[in-house]
Amino acid sequence: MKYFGWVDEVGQNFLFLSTLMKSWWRSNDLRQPILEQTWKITISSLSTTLFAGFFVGAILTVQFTLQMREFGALGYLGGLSTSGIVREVGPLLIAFLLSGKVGAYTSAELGTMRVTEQIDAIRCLGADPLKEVVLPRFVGIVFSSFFLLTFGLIVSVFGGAFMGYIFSGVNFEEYIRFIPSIVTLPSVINGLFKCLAFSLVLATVCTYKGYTASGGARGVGQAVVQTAVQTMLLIVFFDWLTSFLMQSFINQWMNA
Amino acid sequence: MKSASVNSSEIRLISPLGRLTLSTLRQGQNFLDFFAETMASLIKPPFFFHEFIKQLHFIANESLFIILISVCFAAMVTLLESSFHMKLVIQNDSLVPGFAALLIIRELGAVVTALLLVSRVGAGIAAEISTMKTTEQIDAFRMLGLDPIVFLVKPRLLASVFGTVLLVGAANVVCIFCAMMISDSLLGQPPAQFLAAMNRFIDFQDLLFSLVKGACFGFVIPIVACYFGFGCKDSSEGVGQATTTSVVAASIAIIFLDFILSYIFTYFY
Amino acid sequence: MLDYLNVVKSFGTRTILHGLSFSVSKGSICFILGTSGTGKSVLLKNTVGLMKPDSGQILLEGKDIVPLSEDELGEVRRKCGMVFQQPALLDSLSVFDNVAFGLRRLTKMNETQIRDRVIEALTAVNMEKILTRRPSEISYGMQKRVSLARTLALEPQVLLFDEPTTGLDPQTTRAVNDLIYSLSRKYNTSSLVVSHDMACALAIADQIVVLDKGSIVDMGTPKEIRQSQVPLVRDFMREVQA
Repeated sequence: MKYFGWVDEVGQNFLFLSTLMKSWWRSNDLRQPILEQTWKITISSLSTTLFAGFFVGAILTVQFTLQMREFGALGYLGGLSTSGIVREVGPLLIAFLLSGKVGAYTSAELGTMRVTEQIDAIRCLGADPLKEVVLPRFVGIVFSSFFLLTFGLIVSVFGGAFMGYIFSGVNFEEYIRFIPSIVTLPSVINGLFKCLAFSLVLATVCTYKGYTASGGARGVGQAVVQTAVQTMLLIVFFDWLTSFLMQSFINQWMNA
Repeated sequence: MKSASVNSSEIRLISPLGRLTLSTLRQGQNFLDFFAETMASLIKPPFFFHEFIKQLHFIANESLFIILISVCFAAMVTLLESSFHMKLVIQNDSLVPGFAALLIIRELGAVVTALLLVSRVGAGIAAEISTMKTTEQIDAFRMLGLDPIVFLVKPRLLASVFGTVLLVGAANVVCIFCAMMISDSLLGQPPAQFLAAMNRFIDFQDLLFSLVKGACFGFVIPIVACYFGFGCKDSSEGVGQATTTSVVAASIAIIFLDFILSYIFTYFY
Repeated sequence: MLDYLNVVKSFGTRTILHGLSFSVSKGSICFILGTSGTGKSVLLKNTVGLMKPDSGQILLEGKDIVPLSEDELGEVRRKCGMVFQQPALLDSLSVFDNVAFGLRRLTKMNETQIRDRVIEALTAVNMEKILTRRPSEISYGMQKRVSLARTLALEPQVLLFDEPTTGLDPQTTRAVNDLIYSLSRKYNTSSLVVSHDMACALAIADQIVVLDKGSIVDMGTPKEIRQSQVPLVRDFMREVQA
């Protein structure tokens, strides 16, 4: 039984998501709080994303350089490492970082509100905490992390180009020359689709875990840890799922 | 205080910058203090073997399942994506296993394992230590004459270094195995061909470097987590904050360290 | 005003409330006493529908609130003000906005009326001078009083207190008790106070209910409780006399 508790967890996540969506349906105007949250989350994580994106690009370029040199195909370096970043490694690693930053922060915040009875107080004062507190954060996280992931991908291209110049002796023009021909539209769509899937995972898990936290300071800590672990697991899983689906999809599309 | 006489518009610009620099420096100094104390504790006599085993169980054994599953998926994605790229550039995917295995062993095996450990172990340690701090258990340790660094940090640090190396090893094995299965079923390359291609690309030192990376990451995780745990504010918000900050700081440290290590290792190929 | 009929609540296999029955009449103050972990807070949370009992009825002005949905409970919560064990102030809002939170959502008052009401409520607890501060910037005792003001601002007919004086200094404790007493006399508010402070209960309660392990062991006016022969009650009494 120990290893199958996650089935229950996944189900609970989806139930929570459906309740949340229902409360969205019923509420009239949430534009203001949603924008506030989006802005707050984006600003607070911008520097982390910048940093992560840059180094992810740099690492991948270093690794690709080693392999490309053997084939004497350094000209393809920019195209290939950009494609690798956009299609897989970029979204994955940046989403990992965001799950620590955004996910853990939100679940700690909601968990604290829960254990200090703030959530109950909101209910007693005649407001729906799902609508007032959780929903703006949920939508805010989806928007801002999608933006941050995309932004991180763009930064990582520059990180890669920078490293290509320093480490592999490929100058900027040479680096970006093959990007348009190798990073095709389906690749970009693939990358963006991954970003979207990851931001949904991130938002669902952290709001659910934080909102259902219990048991004082220890409970908040536990909620945060569980959020981080579950988010990462689901991200890795969705990474595979999107790659798999997109490739079968694209194969069919190319064959047709 | 002296700066009060300076033109106020200049202060508005300069003083936040100065405050930021000072607080960053102070943070850095605190961290170095903590780091030095921990290093010193490593050679101080009391070694809690039982605690070490307990932490090793928490860090390695209880993370094994999660880590193996996630690196499995990561390996499958890597293989899928490598084959996509190979077809794109050289219209031929016979070299895919080699490339994929190289990427797995040099990068993904260690990094994905370490990032997952940050979120499970790092966050767990930070939450535990900061809860102990807020409930005054750390002070109680001091009153009993026990050094909390020797008692709490040291076993976690040793267990984490040891455990992460083991986990990275296991993750590499499972990754390769997984990639082999996928290459058989999806690319139609039987294991023999996979292993032959892998053999051409990978040296023994690649595996060694991967384990060295694992040890470095395993060292960073508990140090960062304990540092933020000890510096936690006394409230239930404090626990959440300490946990969050330590996860972010450790993840960034790992990505940065990975870059540095990859760069250094290139001189050995 | 508030009647409990055979209320049962359990978490998993652990039964917290073993079929409680008692009632609180209009304008009276009822104290629920008991040692920690006897389900006192759970009882309060059931009263406003934050939790649902497994069986039994809770009647507010003769209407059962147990089967009500979350939307319908809004009306119940409008009538019942709950003061939580922890201050439970929203961290992100100032003191003023915390007190105004419920008014903005539950009433049709305009901003000037809200402002007047907030000041009035904060004056009642002597906190009218800290409107713009954040909850994290004021002391625990002050937070508790603001929390009380937040509930008072809505002018509820039933006030539910979850250990209102725990963690407060003796002076503030007395002030809060006086406040509970004067409110119930002035506005004819019924109060249900969960506490383990026998001295307060004897001083201001109209009715005292003593709980042990989720069952009622004794119940009556302060006079009757003083005469009680139940061991737990005698224990509580000894503390007061000491």
